[in-house]
Amino acid sequence: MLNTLWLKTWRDVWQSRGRSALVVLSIALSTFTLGVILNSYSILSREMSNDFLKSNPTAISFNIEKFSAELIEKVQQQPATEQVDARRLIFGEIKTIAGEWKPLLLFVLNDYNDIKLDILRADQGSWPPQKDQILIERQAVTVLGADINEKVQLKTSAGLSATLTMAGTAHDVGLAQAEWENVVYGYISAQTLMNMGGEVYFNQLKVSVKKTANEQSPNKQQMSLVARELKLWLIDNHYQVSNFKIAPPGEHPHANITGGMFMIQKVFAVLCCILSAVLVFNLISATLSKHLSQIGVMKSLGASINQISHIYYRGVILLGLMGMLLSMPLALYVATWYVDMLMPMMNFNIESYHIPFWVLVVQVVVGIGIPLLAAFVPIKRASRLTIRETLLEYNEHTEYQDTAFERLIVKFTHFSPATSLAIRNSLRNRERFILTVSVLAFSVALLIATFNITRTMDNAIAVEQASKNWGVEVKFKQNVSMKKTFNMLNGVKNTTSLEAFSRSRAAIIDDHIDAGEQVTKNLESHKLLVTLTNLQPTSSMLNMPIINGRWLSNDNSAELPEVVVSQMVIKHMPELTIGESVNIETKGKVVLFKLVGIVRNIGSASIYTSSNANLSKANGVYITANSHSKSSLKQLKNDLYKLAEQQDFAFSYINTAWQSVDVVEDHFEIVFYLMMLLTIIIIFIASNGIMLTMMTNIIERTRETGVLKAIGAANSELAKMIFAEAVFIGFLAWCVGCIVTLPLSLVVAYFLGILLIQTPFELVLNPLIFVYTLPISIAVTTIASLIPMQKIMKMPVREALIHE
Amino acid sequence: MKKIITSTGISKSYHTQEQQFSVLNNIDLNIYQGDFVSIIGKSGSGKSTLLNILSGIDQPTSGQVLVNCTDISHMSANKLDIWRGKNIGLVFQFFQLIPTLTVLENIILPMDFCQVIPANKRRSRAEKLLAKVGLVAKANKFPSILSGGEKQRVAIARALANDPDIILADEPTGNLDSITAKTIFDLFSQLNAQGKTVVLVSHDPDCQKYSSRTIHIVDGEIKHMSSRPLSTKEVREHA
Repeated sequence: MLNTLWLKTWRDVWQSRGRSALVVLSIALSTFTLGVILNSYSILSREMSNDFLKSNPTAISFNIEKFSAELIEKVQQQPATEQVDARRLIFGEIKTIAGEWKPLLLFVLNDYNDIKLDILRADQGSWPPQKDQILIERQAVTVLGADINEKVQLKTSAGLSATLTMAGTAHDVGLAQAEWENVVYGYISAQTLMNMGGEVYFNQLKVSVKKTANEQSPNKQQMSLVARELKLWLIDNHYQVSNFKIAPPGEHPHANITGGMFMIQKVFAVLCCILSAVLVFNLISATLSKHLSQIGVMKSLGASINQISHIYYRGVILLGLMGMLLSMPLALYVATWYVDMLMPMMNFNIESYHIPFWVLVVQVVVGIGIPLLAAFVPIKRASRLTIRETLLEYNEHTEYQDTAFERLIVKFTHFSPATSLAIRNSLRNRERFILTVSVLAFSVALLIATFNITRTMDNAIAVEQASKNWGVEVKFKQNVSMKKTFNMLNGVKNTTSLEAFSRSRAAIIDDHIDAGEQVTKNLESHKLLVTLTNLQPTSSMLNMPIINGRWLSNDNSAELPEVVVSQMVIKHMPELTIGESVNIETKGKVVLFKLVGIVRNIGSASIYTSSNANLSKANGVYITANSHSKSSLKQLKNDLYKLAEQQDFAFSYINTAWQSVDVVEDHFEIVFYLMMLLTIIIIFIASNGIMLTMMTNIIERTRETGVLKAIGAANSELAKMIFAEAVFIGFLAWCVGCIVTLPLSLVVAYFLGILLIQTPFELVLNPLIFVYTLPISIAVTTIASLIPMQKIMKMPVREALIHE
Repeated sequence: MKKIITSTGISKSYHTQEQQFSVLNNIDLNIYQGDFVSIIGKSGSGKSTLLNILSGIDQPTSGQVLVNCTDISHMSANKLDIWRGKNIGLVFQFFQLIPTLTVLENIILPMDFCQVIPANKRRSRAEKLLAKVGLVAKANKFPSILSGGEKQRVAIARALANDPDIILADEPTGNLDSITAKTIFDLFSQLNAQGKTVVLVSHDPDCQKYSSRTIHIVDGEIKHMSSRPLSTKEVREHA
């Protein structure tokens, strides 16, 4: 037979099974959320890293104008070099099965069976690609839409074109997500390139670095030193190095994105745990207030403080265990499904779904530890009450005293005595009242914040869209005569205006950097690589929001040419100030510019100038059209492709103004759904808590309700009082939630902006959601009151009067 | 005879925001082993407060209480609870059975708390105690289905669980009809006959018939102490 203390624990839980079920459900939901996140995070981070390391990732990657296999041998001889590999990267476009041209990154490898670094693996179809065959990176197949053995048409930025057979798919783990980037990765042999009429040479040199003397992998600082020395060596040997990139040791290129995603999820999981802790606190407080006389009796029978505490702690452990029993297997199952869903998106293979022991331990600790922690204060308080305080009728704490807050409300609202009583009732147990209002207010704040963030992200897209007055941009491989180009493009249907621009790579030379820092800077020591766009002085094609300073002026008499930089430049060079002179290296020359403004855009570090007024020869054209709708611009882009085929003009790419926004929109959509899902979970847990608290509030006053009935209160009067209480709590929580949501939205907008577009979002509030959440908040409290209200209204007066 | 409870100069007063009122004034009382003491008095006279102070449930404002030579006036609440479980059996007016435990489990509960009785003997002892109060048939029932008299008999059995020398009962028949009350008084008499010291607080003048001594409390003071039952006339006179 079980010890009676255990029996009491079990039967107490069983007796209030409705409440217990709510708590179990909330614990289960919070541990489920945490479990899914931790399980999937542990699998993803381990498998992503393992799969990435299997590819023997490059440490330093150099982009060099042109080199042959001879250089590989020479670099291999360098003292710090471990392994060297090379490939050719060609930019171009590929025609999807839907007939749309998409950006193409085409890799040319000499020997597919002897790849030393960034190892490409066979996936489906044949391997390696033979003459006139192309392999497509497995994730890019959805972008291309082609099947194995289908013919695909492609063009390179150098003007080469070919129709190749898609022989199979390959797995290149280190590349950015093809679907998100809306790009196709293709792999061909040197023979195929020759057949296309292209010259065979390399332009990417990949190097891994030897381990240090104590057999440890070199850190980023050591790799920077090696990269710098290698760069100098390459320059000394007359190789034109355009830039180099250092990969953080062993870190997958997606590690920061997944890390950020999991960070948001972990924050939500912690919030779920806090809410379920509040729920447990409320349940235990309510149970204990009901059990006070039992505690007194048990003490009178010889129970010690510890024995009484243990009875209730065991109850909490029991609820925690039941919650975990529900959540842990489910969390494991959903995490596996979640990982399987993310796996193709993140483009890596999974070898094992093994969950590390620490993840299970954390779930157990949270599933039992947090409820125990939440129950600690009420159990400690109740178990230390004396018999006199719990059992005897003449204790001194039964008198009710109102607060200044209540007096104020009642005074200014002129409520009827019944409504005043309802308000006083809600404030009776102040601790519970504060917790109920806080939980509901937090849920309201979170719901509003989610919609504020959606509005903020929509606004960021709208601003990005509005910042482009052009509809389509055509970028050529090299400078072309604008007169000829305009003549050709003017004939394209729906085109309204044309404007030349020139875009090139440039580098801002950081004059603020000291010698010591030069070593640790990521990009070529003391230079920040940027995209320079040279516009017409009177150009109105760009309309980006100005963060600081002003846009370019038409004034040609200025002492120095003007430059405007994007916020990404400031992120890397925060010392730059408006009015400052900046040295910019472009086309081998260093020119002094005056920084006049900082603009906000989504994307990489960019700078804009109109210093070179002569754009009679340029490498880009902005086109405006009759309509800038998505479909019109897509049609215009297709018309331009047709024209390019007919007129045989070579271009690097053709972009519509929607293209970059579409990619960002997809990212934002994922974030919105994720936030919404987590908000719904939190609101569900919070609603459980509120329902429980409202139930406890009403049931605790059953005897008083009996008295009210006895002195003539009709059921309708009682219902009014209960509804008044629900409306009061709902309204108050909404008011608090509206205030709390402001800093909450600001913080989320700040971090989400940094995560998604590398700059904080400018928060835009959604006024309607503030209005909509008021009825939601009141509905939650009102619905929560319905069941207990019905119960006590049906209860006969006699029964209500003797209710304990 | 051995003194089992000694109270010296017991006073108890309460403070509210507006006033202070005294419940007990300077009570000196000796209870001997094997006594059956009835404490009677009007509602609000202080008799329950006196019983609570004797059991250690309440602390006197001044004075000392010795139970079995132990000074319980200055014991910590937790120690006192444990000590009480082993030395005093308490019976309440409203029975105070734990609703989620069966009759038998309610009796085992104090044994589980105090660990005086070995674990393997608790169940059989509880069954014997139930037999003593005539409720073996109800052993596995929950208190909610018992009548008032049955509940009080279970409460008495529970008070005997750890075999204490002293039984203190506060209005044990206050919630019962006269016939049932008589069976409860009979039970206390039997226990007293078996050597237990019984102190009983009651409104019911009948309780005096069973007790060896009667203490009449009026306005917080002992008005009369007698070794025989007081007549109704005497009670009225003392009041």
